[in-house]
Amino acid sequence: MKEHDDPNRLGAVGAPGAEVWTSAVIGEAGRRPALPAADLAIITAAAHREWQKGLVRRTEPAKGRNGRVWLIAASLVVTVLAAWWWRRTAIVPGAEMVATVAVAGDLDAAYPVGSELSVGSRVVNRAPLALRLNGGESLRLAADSAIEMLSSSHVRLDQGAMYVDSGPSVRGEGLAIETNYGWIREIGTQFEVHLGEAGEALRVRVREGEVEIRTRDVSRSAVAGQEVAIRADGSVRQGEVELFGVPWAWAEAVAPGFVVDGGGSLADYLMWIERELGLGVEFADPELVGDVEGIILYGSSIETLAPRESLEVVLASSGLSYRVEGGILLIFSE
Amino acid sequence: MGGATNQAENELVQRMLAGDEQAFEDFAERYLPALYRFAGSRLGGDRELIREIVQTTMCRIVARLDTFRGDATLLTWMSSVCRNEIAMYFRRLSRRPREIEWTTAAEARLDAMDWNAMPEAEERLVRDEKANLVHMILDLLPVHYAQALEWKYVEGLAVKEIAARLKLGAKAAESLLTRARESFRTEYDRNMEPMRAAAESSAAGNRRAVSKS
Repeated sequence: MKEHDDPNRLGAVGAPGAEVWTSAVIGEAGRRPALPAADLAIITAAAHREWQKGLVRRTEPAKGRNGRVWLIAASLVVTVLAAWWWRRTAIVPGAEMVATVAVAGDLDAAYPVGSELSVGSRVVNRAPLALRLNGGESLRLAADSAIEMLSSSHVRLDQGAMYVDSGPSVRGEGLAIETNYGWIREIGTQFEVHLGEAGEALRVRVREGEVEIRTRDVSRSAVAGQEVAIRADGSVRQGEVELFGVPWAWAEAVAPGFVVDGGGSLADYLMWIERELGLGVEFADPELVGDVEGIILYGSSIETLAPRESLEVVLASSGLSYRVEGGILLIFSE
Repeated sequence: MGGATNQAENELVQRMLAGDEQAFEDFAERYLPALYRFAGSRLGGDRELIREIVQTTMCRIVARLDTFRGDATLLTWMSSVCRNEIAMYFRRLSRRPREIEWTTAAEARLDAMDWNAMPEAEERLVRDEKANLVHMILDLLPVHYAQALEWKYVEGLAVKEIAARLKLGAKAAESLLTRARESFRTEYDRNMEPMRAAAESSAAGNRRAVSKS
């Protein structure tokens, strides 16, 4: 017999039955353990901030959800800014902090997560590393790379490989990467710069947007899906590169995790996955398109996971699964 | 009575969505302790972890208040969010093998366990879970209601002593106790069974997930 059917607890307010039941239930449970007031205060304060952010969000105009808009914007901005291509950014010496270590791929990394880099810092990393620049760009270094932070928008790559994701928002001054062989300037782009591999002095692969590459003798542009390689003798090779898979695997492995900020939906997460894995997301069932907006992600636990790791966890907890077919990530119900 | 309380919860949510600061304070004061207790019963004594999980859960909840439909009680809804957060945490742990840091408290608990008394231990677990639910329901009540009920039914104080503590006359204290019992029963009826059913469903889901893997 369930407790709420117990006749001892039925009856009008104040009736002996109600008293007996209440006494039994509360008496048996005992006194409530005290809760840590300090922790409750911290939680309340954090929740209050999120609540206020939610109020602001609900009054802001809806933002576009189509990630593909970035590519168009990036191309336009690159065209406009091309005129000042050769103007070097002045280096301002001093202790200005320009970047933070976001992901350290090795526990023995000389650059622990959270450490800051100032103008003039040199980074020589043995393990993969991801930096977050002050402008919001994600800058990932392959193992055995060497860079120098010349300013918040000017980095020199001396050795190894670098992957840049400047994100969907465009800032007035794009990131400039200087190498011994030339300059690469970007706006609103994902691309990789690699020095000294397979006999090629400089190789640039573009995943999204467009970049301009300039050396002493050569000026080239490359768009998404293209790569440009410059050999030591100055000759140029231009080819194609897949937007997903093996060419980008090292950069994906050291990607900062998805931050489940207040109100993050599965749709937000899948947009991030599209960007990080270079795959187009499609749904086996058209009805899932609406469903994913309503599936809310909870918890900071996926923030330390690389994109492919978190993909399994997130989809499984949402009752979904996936398979990759060519450049498409197909989502379906389990 | 149940309908009036559901309406009160819906009104509270609407006031929060409208930016009412007092509504937020009322919400935090009423529901956070119960949520904390819910998480605590599932996460052992790891205070830092409990704070992290509960904080994340509360932030999720206030960010998505507009999705609360009122089909379930607010506590049931919040507990399901918290349950999901806890599940994600443990799922992440299982996918990233790492050394488990044994705390002194965990070791002490392990050492104190009597492995020959497992049936009794299981009964104790069920009893503890029920006690935790009762505590959560007390958390939902106005502070002086919950205090009065504990003074009477846990500490065994007489109405006269409760009246003195609350600085009330004897009749006023008796009346308060009556109202407190009524509120407790209302919240018990609204929340106990849905919370138990949700816990059983979650446990069954976990068993399915384990057998699938």
